[in-house]
Amino acid sequence: MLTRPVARRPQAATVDASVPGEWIVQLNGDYPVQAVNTTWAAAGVQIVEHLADNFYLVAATGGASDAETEDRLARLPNVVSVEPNRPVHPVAVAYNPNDTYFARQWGLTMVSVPQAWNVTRGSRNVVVAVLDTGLLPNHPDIQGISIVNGRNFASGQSATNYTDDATNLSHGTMVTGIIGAMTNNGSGMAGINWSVSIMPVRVMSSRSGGTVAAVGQGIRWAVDNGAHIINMSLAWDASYNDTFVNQQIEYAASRGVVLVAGAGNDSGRITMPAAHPDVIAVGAVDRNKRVAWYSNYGPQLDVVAPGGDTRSGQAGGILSTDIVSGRLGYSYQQGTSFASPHVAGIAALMYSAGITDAQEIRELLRHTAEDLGTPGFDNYYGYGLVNAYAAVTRSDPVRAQVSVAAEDGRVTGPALPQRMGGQTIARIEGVAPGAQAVFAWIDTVPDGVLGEGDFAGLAAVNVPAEGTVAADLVLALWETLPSNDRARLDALVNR
Amino acid sequence: MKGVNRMRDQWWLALLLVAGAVMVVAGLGATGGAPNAPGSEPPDYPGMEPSGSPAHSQARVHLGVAAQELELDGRSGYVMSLGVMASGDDDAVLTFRSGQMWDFVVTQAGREVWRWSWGRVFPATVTEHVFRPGKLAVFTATWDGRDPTGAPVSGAVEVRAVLTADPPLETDPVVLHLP
Repeated sequence: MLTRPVARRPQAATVDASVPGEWIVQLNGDYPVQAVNTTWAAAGVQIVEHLADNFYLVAATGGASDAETEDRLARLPNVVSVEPNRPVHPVAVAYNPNDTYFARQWGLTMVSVPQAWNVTRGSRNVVVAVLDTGLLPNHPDIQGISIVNGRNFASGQSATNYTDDATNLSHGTMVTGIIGAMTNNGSGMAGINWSVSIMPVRVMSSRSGGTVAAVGQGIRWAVDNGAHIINMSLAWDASYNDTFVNQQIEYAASRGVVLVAGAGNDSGRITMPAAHPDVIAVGAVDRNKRVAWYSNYGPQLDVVAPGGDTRSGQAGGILSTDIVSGRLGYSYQQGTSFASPHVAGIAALMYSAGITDAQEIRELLRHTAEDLGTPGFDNYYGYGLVNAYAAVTRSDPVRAQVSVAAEDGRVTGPALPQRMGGQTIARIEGVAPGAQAVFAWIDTVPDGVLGEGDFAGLAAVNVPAEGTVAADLVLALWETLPSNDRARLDALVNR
Repeated sequence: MKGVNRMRDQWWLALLLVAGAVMVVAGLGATGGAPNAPGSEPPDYPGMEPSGSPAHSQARVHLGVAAQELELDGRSGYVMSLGVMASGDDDAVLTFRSGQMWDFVVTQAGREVWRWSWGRVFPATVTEHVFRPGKLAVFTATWDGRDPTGAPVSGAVEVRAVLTADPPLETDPVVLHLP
């Protein structure tokens, strides 16, 4: 019934029972959501999201049964059709939206966001506070998204005015666009979340920055007003130790709020607030997955994400919503400022997929990351490059099944791996000495078969005389494995 | 009050361009401390490219700093201004590692007593800024004459301005005498 432009989707998603209390409704026209919800106030239903064309996602707000509500919905004026919404199991085929500039957003593809969209495209019930320079709510790719009440703690504007006064480079609008610009609307760019609520908290002015005290106030306000995730694409020298802001960060963490910050751009030590142990510190990579020339590093680094490098051309930067010479549009920028909202956006996707524990979100972001640089944790890539699809599907290598295969086809295992520092190690005893192959897999698409959308890895090992194998597990998406590895794994696992 | 502000603006410009300003020409190899100097550990990652923007490293700009006491409505403060202008016939394109473009540092007998950026926060974006020949860009800050603990500073102090580009460019000092 619902049709949307999908460029590549050769494998059908698996559907099963309907989502309780949710329907996809077609109206006889394209109406403003607020107007329809006002009209429907007494009907016990409310539009949650405008999906596309005349289609809307509707949720029950009253206590009636689903059958009664569906019947009531079908009889409302302007309603053409009603269908229950259904959950979709993950398939790892990229779900590419029709936004004009999507092809220029190399960062989304790099961290498997299009695959994650086959699991979740976000939810307006998830609130991401953007502590920044404010935003430009009239930007054409921003004005249709959900913006909840924000606040201004920077100088020069009233407390309720969170609008960015920039006429060039609206930093907060750039960050907001990465997290949740209007998506699949046929123009502009795609946000990591097709649906999310942005809470603009202005703590800096575009021209002269802000104060650490304002950041502390902003954190407190965001937490007390319902933020689930706080993005801070800002920095101050880590030697400035401020008790007030530290307490607000710790308050946020104690309330289960996910805090994300850019690591800073000094090619040196990680700045605050990223250096605080309760904050997810995000470094930047370029489009070749190399540490960006400016990205800070150190033991506090959690992960890296696309931050761009424009030195060889604008296309190497991160494209997002902006204001250029007073005109609303798009620009390419570089900095850990833009790596951070990639991670905050992925955290919002995880939240909408039901992963709501802040500690679990941080652990999954770390351990589902693509390990780059020195194996395991290192100061430059942290735990690696975030992977949205692996994160929303909880494809942590510690959940992998691990076995050892001899050349004659004899298999020992499976065994469950263990975490050891930044690595995930499998230890299998009683293996015949000599050349063997360790293989590991996660049946991410839960169909009992290893294939597209699953994570797997294969490595040659030389088993010593005592017959114990200890291997560091590095898993990759099935589609990205070398073809001979896929053939061997297929023979071993799908036999 | 508007009249006072207009007079103050004119005063800054006049101060920078005529009497009190110390002008220097800064460019590749210019020295000066970065306000957020990166730590020395850990060492550069072998795969990382050199920092900075080589295409723009030859860019040259004039810097000038001015500082003077200003009294308004019975309250006194110290107004500091940094003027920047491309020094040649071409635009000077400089790279900045954050939203911070300038800083002011006050020292007394070699000890830092105030820094404008202390306790301030900036967007973590790398930007470029174009300085044009013959067009003066002015950045200002005010100081209340107190150190970070709130204690008043007295006697002679030196004021330096920093253009926090990559690499940072610093002016020579001007001296202020505080009561």
